[in-house]
Amino acid sequence: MTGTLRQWWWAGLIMAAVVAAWGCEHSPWRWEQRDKVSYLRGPYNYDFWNRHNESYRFGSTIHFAHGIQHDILETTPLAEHVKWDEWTNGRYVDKSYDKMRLEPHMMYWGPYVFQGAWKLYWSIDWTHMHHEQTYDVLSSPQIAWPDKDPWTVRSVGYYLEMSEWARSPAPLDLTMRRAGTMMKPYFTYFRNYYPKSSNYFFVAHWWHPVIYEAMMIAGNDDEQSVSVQQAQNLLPVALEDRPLRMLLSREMMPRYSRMSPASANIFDNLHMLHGIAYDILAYEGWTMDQKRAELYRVLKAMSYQEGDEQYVRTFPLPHPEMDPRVYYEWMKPVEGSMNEIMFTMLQEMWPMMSPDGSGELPPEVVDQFWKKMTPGLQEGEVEGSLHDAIMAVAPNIKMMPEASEPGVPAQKMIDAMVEAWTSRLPEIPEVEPYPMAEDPVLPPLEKPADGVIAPLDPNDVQQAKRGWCLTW
Amino acid sequence: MNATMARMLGCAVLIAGLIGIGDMAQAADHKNLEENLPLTVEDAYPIGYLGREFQLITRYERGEKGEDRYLVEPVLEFGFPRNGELSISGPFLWGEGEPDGCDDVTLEQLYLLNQETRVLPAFAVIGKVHAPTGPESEGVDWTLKMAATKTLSRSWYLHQLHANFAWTFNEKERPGERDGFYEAVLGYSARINNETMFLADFVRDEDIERGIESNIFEAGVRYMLTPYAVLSGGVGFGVGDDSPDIRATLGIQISLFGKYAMWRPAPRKD
Repeated sequence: MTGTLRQWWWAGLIMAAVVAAWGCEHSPWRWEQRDKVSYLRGPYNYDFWNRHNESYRFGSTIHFAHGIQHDILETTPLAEHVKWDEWTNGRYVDKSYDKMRLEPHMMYWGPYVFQGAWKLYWSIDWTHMHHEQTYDVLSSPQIAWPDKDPWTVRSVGYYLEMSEWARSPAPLDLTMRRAGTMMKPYFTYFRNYYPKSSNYFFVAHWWHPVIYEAMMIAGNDDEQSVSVQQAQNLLPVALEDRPLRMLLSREMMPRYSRMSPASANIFDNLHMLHGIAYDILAYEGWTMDQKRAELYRVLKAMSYQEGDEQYVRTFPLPHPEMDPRVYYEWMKPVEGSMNEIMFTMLQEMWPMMSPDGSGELPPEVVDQFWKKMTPGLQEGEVEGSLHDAIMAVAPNIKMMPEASEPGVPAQKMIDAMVEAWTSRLPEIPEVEPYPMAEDPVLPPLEKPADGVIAPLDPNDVQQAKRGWCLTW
Repeated sequence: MNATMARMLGCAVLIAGLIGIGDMAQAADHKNLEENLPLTVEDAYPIGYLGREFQLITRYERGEKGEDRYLVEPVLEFGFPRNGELSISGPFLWGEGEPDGCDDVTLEQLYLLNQETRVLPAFAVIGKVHAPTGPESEGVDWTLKMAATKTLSRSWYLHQLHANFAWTFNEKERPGERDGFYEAVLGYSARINNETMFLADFVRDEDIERGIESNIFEAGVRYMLTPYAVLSGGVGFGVGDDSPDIRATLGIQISLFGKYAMWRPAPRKD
């Protein structure tokens, strides 16, 4: 080979290597575009911050907690989980009383995972933007009560159209099946090893929907501030006696879920994404690059896909008349909509896993399932993931090898679960739209036998801020 | 009306127009470093697509000969295209040593080339066109700039390194002027708390006049005042005979929101 040819050959080889490195999705040298989008303008922008500032600040505190939790899990050893769980829970509870003034983006408090898996943060921040939009629309005195729905529809459209990482408006029943995470080696790590922090986020996911629902039962007038304050005042109660499961929109905001089922499902999908991301980051069996592959697989599986609109209203309402200003007993135990979805999914997967092909879950598998769903480590619980626990009590189960691989879907199981759910669609009544023609009258707050309410001092009601300028 | 008065009037109209738009405010981002808010360094990241922001930069500088100079510069920014940022600015100068009046109006486009990873920084290219609206300007000058940003460390402590390099082409150089000159900046930013970022940088640049180079160390903070307003303040000290003695900058960014959004829902069928 002549000297010139040799030079061209080496140049071509180097260029090919560079292009391959940049093009490879899991290369540390990958070349990706950010595609960040600013949020939708409307006359309601920042009305939640303006009108319900204390609640806005607690939302900011939650988002601080969400951000920093990523980096804590990725940069600290699992062996020190007790210490770090105490540390994060302590900080989150302190900040819940001395609230963050303004809302941070995820990377502000989680810069390490930002570098490793920025699309996760972009999806979370984008969906937090939708939280802001929908709170603002409901809070805005400028938007008449009957117009709340069309303005919310506009926000949903913008959210779904402007980013490929938008969460699906289909219910969690479908998106969790698409994600196919239950038999992955990381599933339930966060709630089992970091129960205090996990339960803090269960409080956060109680708080988010009750604030929407408090506005729904009060309408546009000054009753809205009273209602929101009555719900907000339950925060110390909820922090002291926390829910032990992720509460879903269908349970916590039945009226808002009827008005905007797409938003309700989007938020459930986001809240579940948080838990799955924390499970993946807590797991020590994979590198950051492998974790990114799995995170992006789950992101994609639970993202908006064409045709998802047809499923938007397909979920039950277990407590259609609940009062968001009451902290009910049914909000607290492990048993509830979320874990029932996952139990059904396990039942759907079992025929493909069981050694004899039977559809009946053995009692020891059921026992380990409910222990895994319970925060912390219970007596008799097998350590590790749900998959580890099932393998320990049913060692002859059939597993697909891809089920334990990062970034690879267990497609047969996913297909089986999705088919099982879609075959039951005729049995699931669609939620009816919520009547928004008349501004509601806030009902008096009464303490039920199965719940707690918080006293309200009229002086405590959050006062709307005057002017746009300086608020502390 | 002579040329100076025309320039000053044009400048005043531009400033008034930009301030008027600032009546509509929305979310700003204090971790997104902007040039001269308050330091020279900027990061590689644009505002979000379709974002709109108004900025006001005010600066005092004591020059190398002890002269006092003042600057007020409004800037309007728009997130366009995706991963890009378009802006227009019109500085107004007064003080000793330089003619008073509107300096060159500048149109700028920033484009983010990539999202940073654990290994790769984020890179951006920036092009600027300087219209000769300044009292001593001739010809349309233009600047080509590169910006890079890298988040450091394996922890939840946020700190970043930034590097900028700009070359300005002086289209119609006058006697004693360079036909091109550079500005190089190395900067650092770190989170202090939820609302506050600390910044520091070192600026090395050539003046348009031959034989003059300056070195400045700067430090400052960016503070989220409200969800849609960022306040920034910084000071700089020069090193070397040709460097300004001191520089102090105060700035505000206000993101523009949708008070006057045109969309309305379809009429209700009551």
